[in-house]
Amino acid sequence: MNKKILKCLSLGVLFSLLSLGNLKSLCKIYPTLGSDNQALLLWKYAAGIGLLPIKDIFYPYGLLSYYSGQNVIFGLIYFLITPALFLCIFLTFQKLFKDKLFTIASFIVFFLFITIITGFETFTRYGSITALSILFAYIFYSNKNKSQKIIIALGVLGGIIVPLINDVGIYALVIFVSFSVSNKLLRSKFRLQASQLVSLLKELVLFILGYLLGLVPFFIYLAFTQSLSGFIPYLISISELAQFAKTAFFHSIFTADNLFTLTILMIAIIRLCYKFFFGDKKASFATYLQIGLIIVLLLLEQKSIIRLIDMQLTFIGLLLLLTLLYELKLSLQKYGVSKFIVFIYFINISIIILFVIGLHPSDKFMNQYPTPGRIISAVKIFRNKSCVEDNMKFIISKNKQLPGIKKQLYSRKNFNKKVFTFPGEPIFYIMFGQKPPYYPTIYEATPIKAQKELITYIQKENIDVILYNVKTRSIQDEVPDTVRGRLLYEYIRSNYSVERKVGNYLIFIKNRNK
Amino acid sequence: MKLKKAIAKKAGIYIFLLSLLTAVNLINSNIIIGKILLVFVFFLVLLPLTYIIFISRHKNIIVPTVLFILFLLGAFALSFRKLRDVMPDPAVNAETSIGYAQYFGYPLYLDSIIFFILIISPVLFFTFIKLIQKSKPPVKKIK
Repeated sequence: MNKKILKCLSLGVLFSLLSLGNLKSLCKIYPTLGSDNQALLLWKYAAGIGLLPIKDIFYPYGLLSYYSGQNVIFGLIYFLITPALFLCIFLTFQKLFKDKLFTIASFIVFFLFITIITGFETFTRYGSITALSILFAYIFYSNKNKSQKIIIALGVLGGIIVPLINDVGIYALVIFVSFSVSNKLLRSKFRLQASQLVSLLKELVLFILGYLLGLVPFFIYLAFTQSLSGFIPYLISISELAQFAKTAFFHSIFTADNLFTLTILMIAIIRLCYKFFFGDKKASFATYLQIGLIIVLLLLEQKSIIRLIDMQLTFIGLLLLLTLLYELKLSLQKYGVSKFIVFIYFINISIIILFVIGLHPSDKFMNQYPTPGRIISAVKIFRNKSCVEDNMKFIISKNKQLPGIKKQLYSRKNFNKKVFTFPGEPIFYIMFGQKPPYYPTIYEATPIKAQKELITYIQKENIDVILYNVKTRSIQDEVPDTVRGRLLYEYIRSNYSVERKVGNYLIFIKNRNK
Repeated sequence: MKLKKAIAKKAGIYIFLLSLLTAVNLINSNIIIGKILLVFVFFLVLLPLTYIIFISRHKNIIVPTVLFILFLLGAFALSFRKLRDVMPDPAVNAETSIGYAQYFGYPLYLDSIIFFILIISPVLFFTFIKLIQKSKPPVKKIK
């Protein structure tokens, strides 16, 4: 076997072993009953009872994570993404540093950063976009005249990713276009000729053709599952998300995570601009890598401007910082500073980033490491599909109100075992084993059209009981749910009346005279 | 050559100080002292970069650029409330989705516009400097 392939394989096995802790992502036991956790659990339940995303339930993250706890193949792919990403990062460092000591040290720092700060789950999600951008950087850097086949293949890859991880697939298109334009500008030394413009257009057309080709299996799936008609309304819902999910960005800019990422982003932009305006204009692999990481960060910062994801982006900031440190290392060595001192400088910076500046860990450090219990429970998920049941047992043992409400409702005459919850506690749909509404909570159903759909659900499913948690004034962003979901709330108030209160819950019963 | 020797000579002292400060920072548990130490750590970490900038031939470009961006940041920070009030609130009617921006009257695109201006500012500043450089007549060398 080829030496390079053998090396990649052994590294792949090593990284798989190091990522074993990520198996816990396949079945998380949610410690609290927050609306986000409930929605996540509901989606696991929905996948378990055979509901289809897009058609039966609103799920904006893609098929891969939706089925990762249900289907062995999807679960395996989901798990293997993490070691594949680590491998990609390792090979990138190797190509960038061309120095064993710095490659290994940088990778160790990066791995520690993922385990201590980012967490495997976040890394798998946002690392995929980063890895895609690194791949584009590598191809654009190494292939001056890319063959049509490569461009189409990249397009197909982007298209195939869309159904699996929605946002990554869509970002792939934007990243390619940005890279294509940047590449032509770099190669022409910022003096684009007409022929290069034509070649740029040709490149983009080929990529889009490939992209559409990659989307074909997705459309076949949609047609096969009769979800095609729901796809356009689903896309509209996604586009409306930005309107109602937008929160203030600059009010929360002074977190260590935000400052870390944004400062590095700004330094990298200044560095690149300086290079292109006043420097040698020669683009190295580090230049392409920096362009790729800047594009990814700019895209994800747009998402963060809508809804803060500062903790999730720090690892991309770290990658960008490592490319900048590499250039600083070259400069320092040029001035006669010894390799040993540069290395100690690097170690100091790593320690400061990991332990001193106060970045917030998005998951517990100990959660990232594999324990026999975690591995066994991951295997059990696929054998018994008991993730939702295990969660329910845990939640009910912690929350004594839930069995009380169940008992109360079961004692009612003609109770059809169906409820609706406002503002949104999807746990009840799981508890009563019913088909949930398309939107799990009022947050996802903020658009008026979505609220109308929930009203249709209530009518169609003949729901007599509505559970209203009076303790929850606002499930997200401090916007009162009665304002966010005004249409639905008005419908409930005019068609249902309060019968009694159990714990924090008002039990609304359908008015019979109407 | 002299500069190279001087840097190589002082690098040892520098790395010793940095390592010492990092170690103290790791051991320290007092929050206030920690913050003061952090300022020194940042200063020391950025020292090599600052030094390289100051001995480079383009320090007259980089330093004003950084100052310009800091000025922009300050200007935005000071005028943020005014800008927020000047920008139109998101429209609300019977068919509008009510989220944070609509409920609290927060302009939808203000953050994006400020972010865009900050990101594009180095490009604009460098273009400005290039134009100034081009407009200056070339200096004739005396034979």
